[in-house]
Amino acid sequence: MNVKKMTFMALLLAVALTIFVAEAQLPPPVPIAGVKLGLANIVTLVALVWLGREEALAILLGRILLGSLFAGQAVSFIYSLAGGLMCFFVMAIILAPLKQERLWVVSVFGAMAHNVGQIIAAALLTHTWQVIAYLPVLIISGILSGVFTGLAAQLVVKRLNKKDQK
Amino acid sequence: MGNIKSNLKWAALFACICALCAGLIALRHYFVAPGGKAVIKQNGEIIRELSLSEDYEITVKSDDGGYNRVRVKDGSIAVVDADCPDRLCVNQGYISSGELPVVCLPHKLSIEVMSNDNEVDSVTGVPMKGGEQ
Repeated sequence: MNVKKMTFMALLLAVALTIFVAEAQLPPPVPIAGVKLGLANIVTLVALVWLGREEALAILLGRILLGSLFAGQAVSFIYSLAGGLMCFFVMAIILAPLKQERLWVVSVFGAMAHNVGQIIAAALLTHTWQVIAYLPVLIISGILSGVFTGLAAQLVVKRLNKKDQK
Repeated sequence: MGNIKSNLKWAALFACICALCAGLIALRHYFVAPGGKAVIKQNGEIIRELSLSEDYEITVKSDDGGYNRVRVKDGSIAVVDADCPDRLCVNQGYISSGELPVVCLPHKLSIEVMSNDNEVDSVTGVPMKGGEQ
């Protein structure tokens, strides 16, 4: 790992953490746990495309760990981790066949996986299988926020590509 | 950007999934059983069963020293005050049917409404039958 790459990773982690903490300060749009924009996923997507799987995973784990320390508490760490890892593995698998131009599609699948992961974590922690009733709501919210963050990530990657050619 | 046709295809797929989910929500709303009692669970264990026919208030303490103030009013139940960080449980407001449980994830607390005739399995703590799911 060269210095340039390490610096870029640290920068991405800082950006992701800032977005994550800033988003946590926003009032929740709907009074349902799990409905959120997930803007920090933009950084995960960019890292996946620009750096690779291991690097993106490292940034994601760093963001979840530090983000929970800064903005949340022990329980929110478990939910973030469950959602984040689920999201990451789905995105890492489908990125290759879908390519960069379909980053928004990758993002939507990732967002849906994120919410499914969080519901599973909630069901396990509260032992309340009725929380699965939230699934349709969270799938819709995942699709909407996934389109948004995916398009944002697509724009970032486009800019990075352009800058790289100069 | 890639070709527009393929983007549209994906958009159509996601729109279909959205419509399906909306349908599920509507269906559930329509068929859900009216509630008669509420079951409060903490850390997965049933700690209280409340009848919804009277109005009253209780406070549930959580392991970490936090609390959720639960109020029963006019056959519905809500968390009216809590010291969890996101207060989503409070914002969710009153529920009177088994459609969606009130959940306070930070305190691992959930409140489900079910009809009175639902026996709760004393071994597993799972409602045996009825309007849920």
